[in-house]
Amino acid sequence: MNCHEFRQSLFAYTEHQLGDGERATLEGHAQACSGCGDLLQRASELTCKDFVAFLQAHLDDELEPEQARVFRRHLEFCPPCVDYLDAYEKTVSLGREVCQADGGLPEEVPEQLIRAVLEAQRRAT
Amino acid sequence: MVPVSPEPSTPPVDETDLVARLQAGDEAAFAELMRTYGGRLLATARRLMGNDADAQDAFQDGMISAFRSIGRFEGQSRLSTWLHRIVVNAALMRLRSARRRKEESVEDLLPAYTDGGHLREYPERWDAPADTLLQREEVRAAVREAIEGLPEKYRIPLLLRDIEGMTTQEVADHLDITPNAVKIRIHRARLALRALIHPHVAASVE
Repeated sequence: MNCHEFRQSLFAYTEHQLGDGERATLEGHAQACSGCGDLLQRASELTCKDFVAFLQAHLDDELEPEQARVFRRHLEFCPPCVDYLDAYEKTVSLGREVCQADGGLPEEVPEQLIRAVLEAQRRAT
Repeated sequence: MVPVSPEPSTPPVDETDLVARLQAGDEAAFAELMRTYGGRLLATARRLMGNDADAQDAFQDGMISAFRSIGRFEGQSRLSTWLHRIVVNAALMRLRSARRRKEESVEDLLPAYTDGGHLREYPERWDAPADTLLQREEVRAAVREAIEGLPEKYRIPLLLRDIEGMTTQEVADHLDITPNAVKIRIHRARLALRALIHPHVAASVE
């Protein structure tokens, strides 16, 4: 197995989809190759599900140092989560910008509403 | 990013004088208060209530409540901040008592995972920067519609924190839930929004 084949098989490995022989070959390569050994370790320390659960704390800068470390390492190894983080951050920006643009320009309070409130206030007293 | 609310919508007025007249029960001062600060308050009510009619009702509740309790306003916060809190409370009261919509779930919009914890679907990249996406009316409309369509359980915490500028603790206090529950609801709201906006963003990439 070479490093390219290792990366191709890594996803199937973490999903427990490899047969015994393939798994042993992949683990053997990881032991012999420090770069791929590192990748295998990263793949096992944080799943994408854990990563997504960390997104908000990441944006709020509330991850513990160790959590922040594995969060960053996961990004180095997992392109789908790089794209997911990007979309998540853009979602937050889009939501804020659209709502602020809609509500940012002060709307005039209709005079009719002001009169209605004054009338309701008079009735209530 | 600085939240839009609760800054006043017009040039600063002499708050001390206005408050003194309000505390004296001056009805003209009450009308002036609504003209001066009402724009942003009405916009806040509109965002929370989701439509103009309910927003005007919440605005009215809030204004009457403010007029009644102006005697207790001691100037420790800005008048605009104090009014904003009152209108948010009035809107939340209406939402609580109405419970107009059946609470829907956002489960179907959350990401799905394989047994090994990988994302089940490889997400398409959102190549365009947020600024570029914002220039596309289709995207803006999709974002607006997606937020308005979120179940209230998720929409309200998201609006209070991201748009109205409250802290997690303030949102928790307003909604009478724990700060952790606030965080979970906002996170789920964002994940759901991402899924709802995604087809429009992907479609808008040239």
